[in-house]
Amino acid sequence: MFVIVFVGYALLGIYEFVPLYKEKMWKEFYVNLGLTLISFTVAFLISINVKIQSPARLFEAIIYTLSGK
Amino acid sequence: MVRITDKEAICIVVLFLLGGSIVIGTGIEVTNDAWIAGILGLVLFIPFALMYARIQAIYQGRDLFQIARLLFGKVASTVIIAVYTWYSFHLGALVLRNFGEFANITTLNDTPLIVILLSFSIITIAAARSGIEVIGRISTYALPLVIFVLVFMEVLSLKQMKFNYIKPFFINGFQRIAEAGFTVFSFPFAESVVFLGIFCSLKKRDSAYKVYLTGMFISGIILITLTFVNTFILGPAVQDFYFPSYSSFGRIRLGNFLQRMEGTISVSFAVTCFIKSSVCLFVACKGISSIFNLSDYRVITIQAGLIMTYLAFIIYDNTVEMSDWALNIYPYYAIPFQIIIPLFIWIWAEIKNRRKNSKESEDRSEPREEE
Repeated sequence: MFVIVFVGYALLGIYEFVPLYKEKMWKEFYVNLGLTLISFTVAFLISINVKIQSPARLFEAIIYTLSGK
Repeated sequence: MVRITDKEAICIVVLFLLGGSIVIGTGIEVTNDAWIAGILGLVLFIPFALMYARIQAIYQGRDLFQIARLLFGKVASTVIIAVYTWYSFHLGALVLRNFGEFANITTLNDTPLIVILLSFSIITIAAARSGIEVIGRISTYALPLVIFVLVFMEVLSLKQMKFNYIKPFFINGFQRIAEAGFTVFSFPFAESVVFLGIFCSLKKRDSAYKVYLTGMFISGIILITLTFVNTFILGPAVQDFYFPSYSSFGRIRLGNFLQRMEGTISVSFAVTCFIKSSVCLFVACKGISSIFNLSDYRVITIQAGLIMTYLAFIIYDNTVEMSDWALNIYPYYAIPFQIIIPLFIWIWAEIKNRRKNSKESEDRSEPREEE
């Protein structure tokens, strides 16, 4: 599964980053790179069946704390 | 700047408000009083729709992110932009998950959820990348189809309806109905706050009023009608179903000729969820590009769309949790995004607008006095 993730992100990298690099759009390049790193990390963790904590639990805990339920 | 017509904007609003809510259903926690909760939610939303439209009318041609930059300092505006970017992003993920869960449970039982979500997000990303003009044009073609399917299914299910299921009225007590009304207000009506990131594309100054109110009434009528149909067909058991509309239309039987018509309704679910998630992704990408001052939001659409998809995948463990979150947690979670911050922005925008107008009228009157 993680091989598909690697190949997919390599292809996406070529598709997205080469034009930005050629046009010297550095700000767009780095923001996209940051997002790609986050996206790739999560995709890789999902592919190797690592359980990622849902942010919904955090909001749930905050709401229950505030409402005192 | 890309412009959309009022008609296109109304179609987007209607499909957006139907997305997710026709899958999960609205006000089902109060069973046969759900229609009262629906009307209550709609009425409660009217002042907020006017408020959202007023914000847009004061700063015509500017989106929420530009309005925040104009009204507040750099730090405060960045915080507000980040908050709304997160809200759009999260809302998009919730809608994706709603549809993914629906498809997984009803038809694609053996397909992994992530595959369904990724397949669905491909078209969402494509639509968001194409821009609001394309989403608007898709909506004008899709809305008649969605309405036709819903009306057609409702007419076909007339034979299965038991109208006495609607009685007794107010059996759940006013407090519970009011709470359900608030749930309907926050999901789906007040979710339209994300349109503050889009309606800069409207052509006229007062279009926002027309679009918000017309879109709200059309979708409200459709949702309340659907609530009636679900109550008439499923009766008190309506709250036992995760996808009540799908279950109601699954009971259509017209001899041996027309049976198991619930597959048809999936078309409406797919279209509305697609439009809603595309709009959310579009606004989220605009928010991110506003924070980092990017020249074009399109360059980040693919990665933002993928992160939204992964968020949709990890956000709940199962359908029970999804349903519980939508009914019990979401209405309170959404209060700051739908009520508090827009109210704050509106009041501040009015104050600044009045100051600006009085200053302008003073400037105009000064030369006359000199004469």
